[in-house]
Amino acid sequence: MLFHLAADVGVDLFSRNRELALENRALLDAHSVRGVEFMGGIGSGKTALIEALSKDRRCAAICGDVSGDDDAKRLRKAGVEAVSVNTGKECHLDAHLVGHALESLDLEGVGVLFVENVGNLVCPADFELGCHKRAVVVSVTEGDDMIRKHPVLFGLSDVAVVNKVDLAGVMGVDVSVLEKDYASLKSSALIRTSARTGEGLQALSGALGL
Amino acid sequence: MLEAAGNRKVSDVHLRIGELTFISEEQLRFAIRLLSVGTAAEGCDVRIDPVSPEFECVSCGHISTADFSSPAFACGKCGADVRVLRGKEFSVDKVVLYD
Repeated sequence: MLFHLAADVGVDLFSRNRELALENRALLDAHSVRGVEFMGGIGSGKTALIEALSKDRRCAAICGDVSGDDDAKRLRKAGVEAVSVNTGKECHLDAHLVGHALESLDLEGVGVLFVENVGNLVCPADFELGCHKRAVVVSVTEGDDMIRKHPVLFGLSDVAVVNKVDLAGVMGVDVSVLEKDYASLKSSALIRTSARTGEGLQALSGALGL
Repeated sequence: MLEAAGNRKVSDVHLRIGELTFISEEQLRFAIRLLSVGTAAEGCDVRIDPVSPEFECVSCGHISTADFSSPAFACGKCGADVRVLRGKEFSVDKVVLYD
């Protein structure tokens, strides 16, 4: 049977997300808002870090979760203007969802917008959201092998954090193992934090350009 | 694309997928096979061109490569951060129809 070449279609399936991410970025820039995305494992302390970093600043937040609005409620208590985005069956935020969430936030006078992605160390990497910095968080309660199990997400993030370091001894986790794994991927240092004790928050704030 | 195909059946679809994406070739083929049933693309050949990662050092401009299983996101020459030049693609490059 003869073939007819239909088209060199060249449809980039990620391009629409990238365009929407650029629109989100432009909106943030127009309001002089610094956008910071937190990706990371479930229960790694993303919300607690945002709470801690929000002190003494006017902040807004978009909280992505499969269901519920627990994170947004917590952040509102901490004085953050927060909206929840339920992704339902999706395991990550995308620029389209973030764009709609931005419509319901008043960015006037806001210094920092935190976008907390769904707890997941895999596919969030594929979807840029428009933030200025992408950070990834793991904690010692997940063990010492999270970085070597997820090298691409760590490699594609601007800033990486190991949280709950105050619990390292209790968990029997050697943080230097995580640091060594991270050093094999990136030139920057893995930042040790404890949202509870405040350890490392200044270094994290600096790395995020806050 | 299927509208443009009219009554013609799709012979093959050429996709380009970067190795730094989290798109599973096997799962994608499975999904296309299921979703294309009853359409012009049913039974089409899905050809996937994988794109190896390529990085450029933000400091010295050195170009390096890596694979998905053992990526290094620091410059092999000077150790600085790199930016991704290739490896995040996900595109439909070509659709071939039966005449």
